[in-house]
Amino acid sequence: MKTRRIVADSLVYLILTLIAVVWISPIIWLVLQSFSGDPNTESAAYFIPARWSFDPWIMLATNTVNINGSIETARFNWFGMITSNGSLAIGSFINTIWVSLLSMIISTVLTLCSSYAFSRLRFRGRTMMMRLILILGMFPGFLGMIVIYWTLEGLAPGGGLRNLFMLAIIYSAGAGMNYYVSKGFFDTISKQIDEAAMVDGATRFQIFYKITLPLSKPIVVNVALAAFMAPWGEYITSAYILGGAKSPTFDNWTVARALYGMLNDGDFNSRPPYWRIFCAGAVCVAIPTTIIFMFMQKYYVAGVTGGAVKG
Amino acid sequence: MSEEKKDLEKDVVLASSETSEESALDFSELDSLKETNFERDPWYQTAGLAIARFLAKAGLWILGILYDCIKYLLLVVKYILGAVLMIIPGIYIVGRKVVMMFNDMDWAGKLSFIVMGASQLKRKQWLDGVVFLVVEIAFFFYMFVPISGGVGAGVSAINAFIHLGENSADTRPELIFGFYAWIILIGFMIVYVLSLKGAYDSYMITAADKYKRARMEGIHVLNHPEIYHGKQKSDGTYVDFARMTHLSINRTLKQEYGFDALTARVVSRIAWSKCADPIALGYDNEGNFAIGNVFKSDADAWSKTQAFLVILWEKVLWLFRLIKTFYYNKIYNPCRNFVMAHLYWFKPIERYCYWYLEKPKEKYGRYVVVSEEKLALIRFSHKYDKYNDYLATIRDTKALATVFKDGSALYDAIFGRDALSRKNGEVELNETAKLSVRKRVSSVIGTFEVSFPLGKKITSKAISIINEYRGKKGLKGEELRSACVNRFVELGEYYASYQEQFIEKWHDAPIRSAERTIAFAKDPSILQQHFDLGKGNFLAACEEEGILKDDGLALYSLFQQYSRIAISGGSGAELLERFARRYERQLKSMRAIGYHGQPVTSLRRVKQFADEKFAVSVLALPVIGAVVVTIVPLLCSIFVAFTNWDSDHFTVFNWDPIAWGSVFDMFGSEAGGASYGYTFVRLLGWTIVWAIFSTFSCYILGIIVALLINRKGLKFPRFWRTVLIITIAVPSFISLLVMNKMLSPSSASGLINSWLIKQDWFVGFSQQMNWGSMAGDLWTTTGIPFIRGPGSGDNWAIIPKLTVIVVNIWIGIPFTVLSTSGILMNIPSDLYESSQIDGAGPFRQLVSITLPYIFFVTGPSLITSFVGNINNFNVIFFLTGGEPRGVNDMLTSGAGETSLLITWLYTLATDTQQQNYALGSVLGIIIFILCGFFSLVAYSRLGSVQNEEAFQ
Repeated sequence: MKTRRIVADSLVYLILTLIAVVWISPIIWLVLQSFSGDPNTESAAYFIPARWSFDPWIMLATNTVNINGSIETARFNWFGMITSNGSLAIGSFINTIWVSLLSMIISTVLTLCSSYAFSRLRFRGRTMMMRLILILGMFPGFLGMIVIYWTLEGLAPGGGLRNLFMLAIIYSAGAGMNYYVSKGFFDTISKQIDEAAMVDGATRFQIFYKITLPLSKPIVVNVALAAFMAPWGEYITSAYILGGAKSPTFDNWTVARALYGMLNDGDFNSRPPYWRIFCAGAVCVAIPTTIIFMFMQKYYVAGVTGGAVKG
Repeated sequence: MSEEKKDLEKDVVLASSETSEESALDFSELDSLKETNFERDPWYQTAGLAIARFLAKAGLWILGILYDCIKYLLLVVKYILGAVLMIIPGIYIVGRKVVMMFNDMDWAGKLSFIVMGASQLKRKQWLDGVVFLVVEIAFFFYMFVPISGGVGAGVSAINAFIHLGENSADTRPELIFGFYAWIILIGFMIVYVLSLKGAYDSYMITAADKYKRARMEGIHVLNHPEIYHGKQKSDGTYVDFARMTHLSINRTLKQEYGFDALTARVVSRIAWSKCADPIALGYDNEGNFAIGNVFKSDADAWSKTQAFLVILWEKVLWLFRLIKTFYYNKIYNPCRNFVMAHLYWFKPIERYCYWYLEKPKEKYGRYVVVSEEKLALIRFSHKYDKYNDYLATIRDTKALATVFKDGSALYDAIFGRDALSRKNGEVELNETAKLSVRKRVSSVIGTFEVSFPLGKKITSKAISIINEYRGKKGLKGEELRSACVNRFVELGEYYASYQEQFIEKWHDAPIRSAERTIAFAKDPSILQQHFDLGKGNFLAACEEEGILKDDGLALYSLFQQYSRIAISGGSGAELLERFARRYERQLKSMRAIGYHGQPVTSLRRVKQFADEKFAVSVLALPVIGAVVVTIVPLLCSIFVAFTNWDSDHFTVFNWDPIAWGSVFDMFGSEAGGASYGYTFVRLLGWTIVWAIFSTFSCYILGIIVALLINRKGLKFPRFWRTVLIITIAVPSFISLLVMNKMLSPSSASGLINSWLIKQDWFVGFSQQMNWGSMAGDLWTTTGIPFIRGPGSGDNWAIIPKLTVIVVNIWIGIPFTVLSTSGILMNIPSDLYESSQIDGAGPFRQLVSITLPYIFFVTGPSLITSFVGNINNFNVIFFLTGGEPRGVNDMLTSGAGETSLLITWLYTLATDTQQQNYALGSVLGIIIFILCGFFSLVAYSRLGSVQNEEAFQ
């Protein structure tokens, strides 16, 4: 019995170690590569760089690329750059921060409103609306993107409206449809508190503003953080709306578009040797998202199970 | 004494030690039994049972899915047929209603058919009126006011949408802005209908008196036998209401009798209902046909046919319900269904048949009551306002009395016991303490079931009393308390006595009033003299007699009628008697019907948006956002699917559903390669295979990993979990691009392949297997084609397909682990304990407890992830980009071997060589139907699973 237990235990630890290695190694590789001093064309071929340097980070910050020893201006703009006429062009990283902040504010308000309504208020068409949202979720969202693209193009030909502000609006305006997680949270708040407030003559607005919201600070923080994180990992919409059928100017890229461009712009065989810089940029993006995610994981679980069961 | 005590204690100690020994013995026996005597089920038996159960369940699922397919197909057919069939009757019904509304309303109401909000503005409902007016002005400005020549933007956009691609340089904005114009038009029509409804309502609020008078007049008219006996017209024929629709009665009343529209409408309604249903309203209490003997023969004939029809109709209804029972219940539980059906449907049918054979007439007896009550509701709606007031007053005074009578509780609630003892009653009620005071008071008052405005009133009243005592009289501590409590009790008694008086005065006041009215109707001589002295005098006399104003007015009108008939030599007394009888019936049903109706002021309407209508204000922004950014674009893209918007018709296109044809044309060919239909079928197959494999591989492996991580006694559980969580935290497109780089061919310095081709064993192995010649020396020069070869691709599409599935496992397992871990911790531990006592081993526990529990909770999320995988853009796009492509017959379509429908859609829309928006939209619709079908079927199946499981 005891030997069996030891064998089973060691087997489990072996498997878990294997899993840990497989899962963590790409990320370790990414971090190691961002400190690689190997030539751009070769560096990806080694797990541990042969030479170490801060070159990728310097090249990322200065928007340059080292091709066979000669330093050229790169085809991205990460933090910002001084243009030829002396003005400052804000880069993808800063763009993404402010798109995230704007869409965070809007979508937090919308999500809280809709989930509160679905959780606490009873009105005609409530279940119908929830069902409609479920059905709409099955349409590929990209279809609507095409129409939005041509709407913006039709309103201001030449892409005048296809800017970061509109991108933030597009990210956040439909946020009311993601009500599952916060509705689940509101459902757990006792209704007796509401009733007690009603006895005191509070209106439903006062209940929402003075009682429910202060009690649900964690979910507010969670919704806000999730909304803040979304633009960092979102590629299609930003690439299509900001670039679309026309050639993009990389001043108004978001980080996702910039990172994708570092590896995939141009022909397969003549792609610019940006791999190391990509790694530095990816680590740059991954650090804030990882920190935020660590805050959020508790509610993530609640969202997956709670939302699904009620769905 | 002490010795006795000690003995007793000894006994107790002995007894307890004995029992404990016994119990210890018991447990050891149990333990030994567990170790030796019980045999665990052999593993193969457990596994076999599980497999058998799974197969049985799967069979039922397949049956159920088939059943669901038929069900949803029938539903779709039903709704489409229903919509088509309802168009003409619907237009007729709505049109008739609109005509009636128009006829009823005054000039402002009629004006609001053209100027929205006129009726509301006239009646000082400023909010509604202004909103409707602004909407209308904005709409007409958008539609008709030309900005740059021609007609307005809206009209030209609608026109261009219909004639898409004709006379145009660029159709794209025409399609999209034309669609928006249609949406605006439909939205305006909805708002227009709402404004008409509001106009009618606002008219009814102010015109209630007029309407009431019209009703009264109608009642007199209806009681006038002339109408039923038929009036001789100028050409010698009679008007016979029995054979007319109520619209024609209405017309006749207006033309022949010169009634105004409102009265005509009321009268015709009532007359028609009586004519159409003589049995329901025709007989009075004595069984005589009271309204008009001319109808007797008609009524007999009618009742015979009607009885037959009614019974036939009910039989048909029952048949439908019977089918519905089977239809809505699970088909694989026929036994239960049979019992249910028997209980719910066969029994009543039996009973009904029996009852029908015995007593056919009582059927109509019940019908009389129902119709009567409905009629009474209409007639006495306004009287009910008063009755409600009466009830509310009684309720409020009762609440006041009970709360104040319990004075000490109220006082303590305000100050709180702690505060009282601590500060000896010298607590100042400052502003900050008010909230907590209110909470306490509300909790006390809440126990008396007091409505909240009243609770507020009580609180403020009580606090003012306390303040008064403390301020003016300077009382403190216990003195203050007793004084206040006394005052409260006094107040409570006062309210109680007030309530008694009130009830005495008003209880059954309408009923008593009605009784008096009936008495006077039966004996008109007493009030006759007052009537002769004029209306005011008559009403005053009525009030003295305890008759309410409404009843008095009705009685006055009746007397007018009576005297008129009496003067013309008819029998007025009969009229009064009939009135009295009807009044009795109406009053009887008065108490049975609830009515809530209060005119609403503008200010109140605004305030409603923070309270009763808070849902509207809180949902306005999310709904507007979702409609503008999600719903309208999606609807518009459905229309795109019916154009020929592709790279050949990129700026100018027209209505042409060619894309649908090309998707379903599997064997046709296009210049330079196979047809879109061929690509579609292949990608559809791969999409479904991908969705199934990726969903279940992540799910099953994820559960296994979660079980490992949550194993009891595992060291560093947080560490293992954190390792997995980090991979979620890194945005998936980054980790996918990293994976792409890892698996790239060695020519692109992919990590794995660069290492492999430096190994002699790999080179030798691949040369020996002679794969080199198959793929153009690919393996020996650039390594395993995980994703694609450099430049041209190869035919080994199975390897990239496996790659994406494996990499998706890497992406997906942490999500499953994260969600499953929480569930595993929540499994009640007593389930395991009791199963252990029953002899279940770890394997049996896993199969019978853990896994069913996990499936039960995460089952629905499986559907979500299945649908999500059908639409899994990221994995394919960032990992392979659809590669390998270009070696086979899907070249011209822009899709690759690993493309899913969704990535093909993206390629179709963005690739400059494709730009086939029409085909993209068709694909989108097909993906939607696919996802919708899967989730509908799965949700209904899972719903049944949930009901059967016993975990919750």
